[in-house]
Amino acid sequence: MTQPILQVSELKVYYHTSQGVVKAVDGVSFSLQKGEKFGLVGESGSGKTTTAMALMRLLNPPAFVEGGHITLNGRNLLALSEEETRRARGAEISLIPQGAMNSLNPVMRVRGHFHDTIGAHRKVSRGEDMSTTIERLLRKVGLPPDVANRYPHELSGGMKQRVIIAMSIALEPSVIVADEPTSALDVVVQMQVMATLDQVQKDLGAAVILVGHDMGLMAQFCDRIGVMYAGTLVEVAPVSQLFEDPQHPYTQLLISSLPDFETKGRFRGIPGLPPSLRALPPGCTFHPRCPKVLDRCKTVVPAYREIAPARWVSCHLYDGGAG
Amino acid sequence: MNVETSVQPATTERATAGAYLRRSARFFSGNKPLAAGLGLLLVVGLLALVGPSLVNHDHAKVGAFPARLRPSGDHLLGTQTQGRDVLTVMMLGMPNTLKIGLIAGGVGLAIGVLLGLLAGYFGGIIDNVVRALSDTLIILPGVAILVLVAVSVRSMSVELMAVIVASLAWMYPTRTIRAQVLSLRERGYVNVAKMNGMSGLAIVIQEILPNLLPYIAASFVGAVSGAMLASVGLEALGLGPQNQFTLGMEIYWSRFYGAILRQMWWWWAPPIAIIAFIFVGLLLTSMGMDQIVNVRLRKSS
Amino acid sequence: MTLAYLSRRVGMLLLIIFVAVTVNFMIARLMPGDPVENAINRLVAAGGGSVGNVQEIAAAYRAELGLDESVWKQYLAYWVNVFQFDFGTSLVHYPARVSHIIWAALPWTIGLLGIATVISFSVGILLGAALGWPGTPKFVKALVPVFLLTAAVPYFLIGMVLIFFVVVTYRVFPSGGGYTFGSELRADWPTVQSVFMHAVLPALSIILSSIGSWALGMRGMLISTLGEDYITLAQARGLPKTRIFLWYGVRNSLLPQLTALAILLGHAVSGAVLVEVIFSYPGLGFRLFEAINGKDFFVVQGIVLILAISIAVAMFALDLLYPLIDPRIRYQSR
Ligand SMILES: Nc1ncnc2c1ncn2[C@@H]1O[C@H](COP(=O)(O)OP(=O)(O)OP(=O)(O)O)[C@@H](O)[C@H]1O
Ligand SMILES: [Mg+2]
Repeated sequence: MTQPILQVSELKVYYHTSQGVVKAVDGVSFSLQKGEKFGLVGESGSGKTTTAMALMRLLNPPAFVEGGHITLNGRNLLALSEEETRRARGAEISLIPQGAMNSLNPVMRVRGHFHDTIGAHRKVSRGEDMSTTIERLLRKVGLPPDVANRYPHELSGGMKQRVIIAMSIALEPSVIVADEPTSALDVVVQMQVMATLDQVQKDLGAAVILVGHDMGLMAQFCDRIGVMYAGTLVEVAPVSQLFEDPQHPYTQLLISSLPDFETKGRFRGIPGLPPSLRALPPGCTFHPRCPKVLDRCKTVVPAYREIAPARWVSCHLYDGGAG
Repeated sequence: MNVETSVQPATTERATAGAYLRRSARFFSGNKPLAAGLGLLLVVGLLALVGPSLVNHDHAKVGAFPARLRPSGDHLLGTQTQGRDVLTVMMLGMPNTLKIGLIAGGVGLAIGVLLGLLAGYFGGIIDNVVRALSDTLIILPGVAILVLVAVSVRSMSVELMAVIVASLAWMYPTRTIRAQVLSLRERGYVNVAKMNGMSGLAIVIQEILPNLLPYIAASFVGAVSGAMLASVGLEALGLGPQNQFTLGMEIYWSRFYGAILRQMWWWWAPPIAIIAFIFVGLLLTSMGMDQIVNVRLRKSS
Repeated sequence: MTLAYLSRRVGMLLLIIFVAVTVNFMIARLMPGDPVENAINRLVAAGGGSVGNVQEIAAAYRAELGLDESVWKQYLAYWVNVFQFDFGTSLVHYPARVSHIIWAALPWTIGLLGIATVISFSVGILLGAALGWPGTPKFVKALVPVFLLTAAVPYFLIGMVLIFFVVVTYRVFPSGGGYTFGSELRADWPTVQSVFMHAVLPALSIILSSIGSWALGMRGMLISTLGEDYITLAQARGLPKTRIFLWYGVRNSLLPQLTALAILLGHAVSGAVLVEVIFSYPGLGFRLFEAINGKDFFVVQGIVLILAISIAVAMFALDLLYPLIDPRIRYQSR
């Protein structure tokens, strides 16, 4: 295998609140190959956005990275200076955020947003040159060129999200982080925006991390999917294998709770409540809800290991003789 | 922005005294401006309540003592040019000043809530008229308009003062309440009530009014504050009650008799200090109220 | 700028003027008794004005106000007079025209209030922005409670405290008036100097008491703006910190402050009136005070009307400015 473009290992992000430490991301590891589409799913509050923001180095107090490494294009992202981080943002790794509706500056034309983004990373020669670039980017996401002269409030939600997608590819980054890019849109527009993202990704060849709830959408878009539970990745597998042969009991419940995996559907939820991240259960964090719970699950934290080629699981069921 | 239906759940929790105290302690430590503001106002309020019974009213009469005595053990705040004891005058003036603010603020609020409800709920012509009127009056220089009225009045009293000031104290409450009613009206449960055949008045009283309470409280603080500002201003111009003590009139008299240039700080400084104290209390309280109201806004939108 | 927006604003302006003129007209006529007799009785009771020419004044007023005509005719005549900037004659300074008194006082007020407002608004906004900038040192942030105090206290009270400390104790600035008493206003250096020295304290009391509320308002707005989603995305796009702070944070917070400026203009004028009184500054506010004390009803009426109309016009001007600054307003009428 070639060198991964992005490698996350043992990432830990905690929120230090007045009521205690919230272990929002607690030892997450995965890697991304060039041009790969990786999905991140999990219940609300399982730490998906926190992971995504850590990749952008956009965590604000009370969130702190407690440990782990993020390597992007061979550089340790967490060790970059403030200025180096700024240069990496948008140019090497870009973000399509969760709240598309308010992510554009309301008093700035679309054109200005492109100017700012591109100008923040390289010298911009005045005039025509820039307009054609903006036009080309807008055309790529299926928007007419006159959108450049409009203000955000003159655009629909879907159009805003396309503008944001166009900005995210403006500097041809090698990784795009898309955090539920369609959650605020209605279903038809959702499909269109996802199609746009798919097309743009193909053209650019960038790796994408797609965060989402909608398993159907994820299945269509992604190559591999990682399932998060209470701040940890419990299973990572290629899409088809994950759906046909889920290994972790949580994934199994998740897949079986879908109406039909061919048709799209959201989780219905599984019995029990997610644990409090302030006081995680000992051992495997999933054991209180797990139908296949073993004795050692209650005390020993399962290792995250590759049980078959490209299949990573963290569960005592697959310890084999090693336990 | 889409406003989601959010019905406030009824508090079913039975509060014991201890739990209640603990809860309010937690509430106030999370909202320091409100705690500080209410604290200051409480001090002023208590002083105004008990103050007049602690002092000898005769000490505030003209010529009760030699004029212009510096502060001493006998006269903690000295005496003024007419021989009145300044501390006594302050004690008698404070309740009147607060009374004007409270009455005017209350009347202004009542008018504001009524107009705001009417305009917000019924819309149409009523709304247009109310809005035009309040938008117009809100930008006019209040003191100037009040001056005109006050000048035309033959003899001013504390109560009349309150009524005059109230006539321009209703615009802010009207705006706040109207905007709130408009947003409440869009919410689901008002529609449900409508479909269940409730009358307009019943909806307003049973469904809308309870949800407005925090805004009404916040508007009240704002209205009292505005009314106090206007009344102190009018009094400093000499338009207040001539025969009753108020803090603002005392500022007027101290100026009238040149207290500042004569370096009689014990005369002009106390009313200013008390007024500043009251306004800081009101400002902090209204900041604290805003904090509460904004949390609700965030939660409900 | 859309036609709808423009016509709405013009309509508002006309409405305000209409209300101001009508209220002004009515208050004088609704008072029990004959307005002229009322006015003159009050004047005589107050002992201002020579009793000798009371009859003469009364006759002149009756003719001027057309009191024998119907109310509607009087109302119409009042409008005509307003358009001709004619507010009648002063009772105290008979036969000085009210309009003359206003003309003489207006530049003082506009100068004082205008300069003080521009300074306190711009400095307050800058301070507020500094308070909202994460890198600002702690001791600057200690200004917040100070601002809380000054923002809460009415303008003129700060003026009185200033007079005491600066004038009485240290004798740095003159305590009142617009220029050196008894001197003549000429376009020479000493006059300019004296006008400046006389304006410092009144301006300072307006600035000191309003700067705090601007700074606090700006800080609050900035903090909530910096929490917006578009700030996060701007960071994610790799924009430099200062660019985000100034062009996404400060600029966007400035717009609501301008709206507040318009709404608070009336408030500022009310405050300035009292400051002028405290400093005997020869602007409209002080003339108003003099007229109140002298029971010079027509002067009071004229000044109040002028104040109201000036504010309406200033509001209108600000309203025309907004759409140039905030694109959102061009398409929706507030
Ligand atoms: N500012 C904060 N302070 C304290 N805890 C926080 C904060 N932000 C997030 N958390 C906690 O961190 C955990 C992870 O949050 P995160 O936003 O990453 O979840 P998510 O998986 O993206 O959820 P969703 O699907 O709802 O977007 C949550 O339990 C949340 O309560
Ligand atoms: Mg999320």
